Amino acid sequence: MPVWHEKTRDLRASGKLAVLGIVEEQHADRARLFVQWKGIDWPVLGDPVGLTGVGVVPILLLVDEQGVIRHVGSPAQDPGPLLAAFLADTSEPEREKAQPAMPRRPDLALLERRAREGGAPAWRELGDALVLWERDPGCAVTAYETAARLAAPDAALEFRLGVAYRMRHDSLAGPPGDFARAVAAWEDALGASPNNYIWRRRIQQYGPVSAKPYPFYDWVEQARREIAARGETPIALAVEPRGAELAAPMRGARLGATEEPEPDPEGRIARDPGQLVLAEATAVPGAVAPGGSTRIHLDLRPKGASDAHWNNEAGGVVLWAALPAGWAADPRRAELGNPAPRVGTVSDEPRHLEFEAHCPEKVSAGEVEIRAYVLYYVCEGRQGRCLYRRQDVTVPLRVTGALDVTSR
Amino acid sequence: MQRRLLHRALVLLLVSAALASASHADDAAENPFVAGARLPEIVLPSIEDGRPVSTAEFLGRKLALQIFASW
Repeated sequence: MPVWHEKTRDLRASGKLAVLGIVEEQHADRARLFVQWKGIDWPVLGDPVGLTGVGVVPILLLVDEQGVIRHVGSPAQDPGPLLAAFLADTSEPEREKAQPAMPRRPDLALLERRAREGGAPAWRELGDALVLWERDPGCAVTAYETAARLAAPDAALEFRLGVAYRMRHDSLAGPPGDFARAVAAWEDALGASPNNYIWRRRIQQYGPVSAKPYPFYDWVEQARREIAARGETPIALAVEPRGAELAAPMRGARLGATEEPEPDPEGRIARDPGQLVLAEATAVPGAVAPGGSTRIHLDLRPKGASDAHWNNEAGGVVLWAALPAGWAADPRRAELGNPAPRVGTVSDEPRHLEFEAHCPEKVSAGEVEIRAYVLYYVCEGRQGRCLYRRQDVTVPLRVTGALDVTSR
Repeated sequence: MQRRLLHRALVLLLVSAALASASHADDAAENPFVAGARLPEIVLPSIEDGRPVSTAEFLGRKLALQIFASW
């Protein structure tokens, strides 16, 4: 694409060619940072819900003056010859066209009325509008769930549901379990349409290193450095890529027996049954084949209702994975330090830890429970009592008889 | 013998037709756009400012449309 950027500059300046981008990305700000980094100066549109219907990227379409697609393919490294032929083609001379009306955001009130009167497609359309134009994942989830209740959901609706659940998870405004709901919906979408590589990548983005094709967002730090070196301010990200989103692929990696000491082997630390900190655990993928792996995401949030805060003057969060016999955890013990001192002595930001669970080769198909616990220092209010607490989490996981389609 | 050959040929034909149609369905799942067809109007927000942009705005000009990802 940077090549494209350079090679089409003169054509764009002379008006011979317009270039438009559509980015298939859940997080619009990550796409903006990418565009800023690459110096792309043509308009780029965000398509988090997959409105284009493509299942693979990148795709290049060359469209003539009449709106007819003349070429479909992958963007060539050197677009010169292809573009020369496209621009030289005057078989359909340019006709004067009526100037199309300026596009407007959809009329939400109209879409809501149609949805209430109509069926599943109208609810889906309303859900799309709520994601794309209102950035309102809560209402979008309701609209998509209604569409799924009215008619058996197809793969595209399952994917959209996953997008809206994950957006609501990122907004911190939804109920617990949204990330797990997103993963389940994306897995259903991919199960119904296993050739959709965008949906496959979405699960791999959060999944185990053994199933990753590449690190997904390792470019972010490089982009920030290079943008800053140009004297610009990098676009800020609402949700920082982390854990699986940055991890490099690792094939055939299995940890041997690690001798890390268990932090609370006798269970003597007082439990927080989710009153102070809300703990959410999600397995990606939600099913694992014998010999396969899944990645467990732990999201921790001090509960606003209890006015709970992390105690940044004490230690960070410690995770211990307690897996069924024969299973291996990587890492078995993890520690997340406190934020920089400037954040303050207490804070209430969400915290996130991940580990991978490796399933043994010889295991019966069925349901298993992956258990883990976290230990943390938490204060009741900014000036209140500070406590050391343990919270146990359980993640239900399905062991499949054969390799699951979503884990490949 | 001839009937068996005919039968085999018919089976082969049906199998290849099924495979061809399956592979066509796979292609469509990956890329619904076909050369020679009209580009359907797509209206999406600009990532820069959220302003709605339609592919129809580009009628009358030659357009290179890139569909890509940042992951």
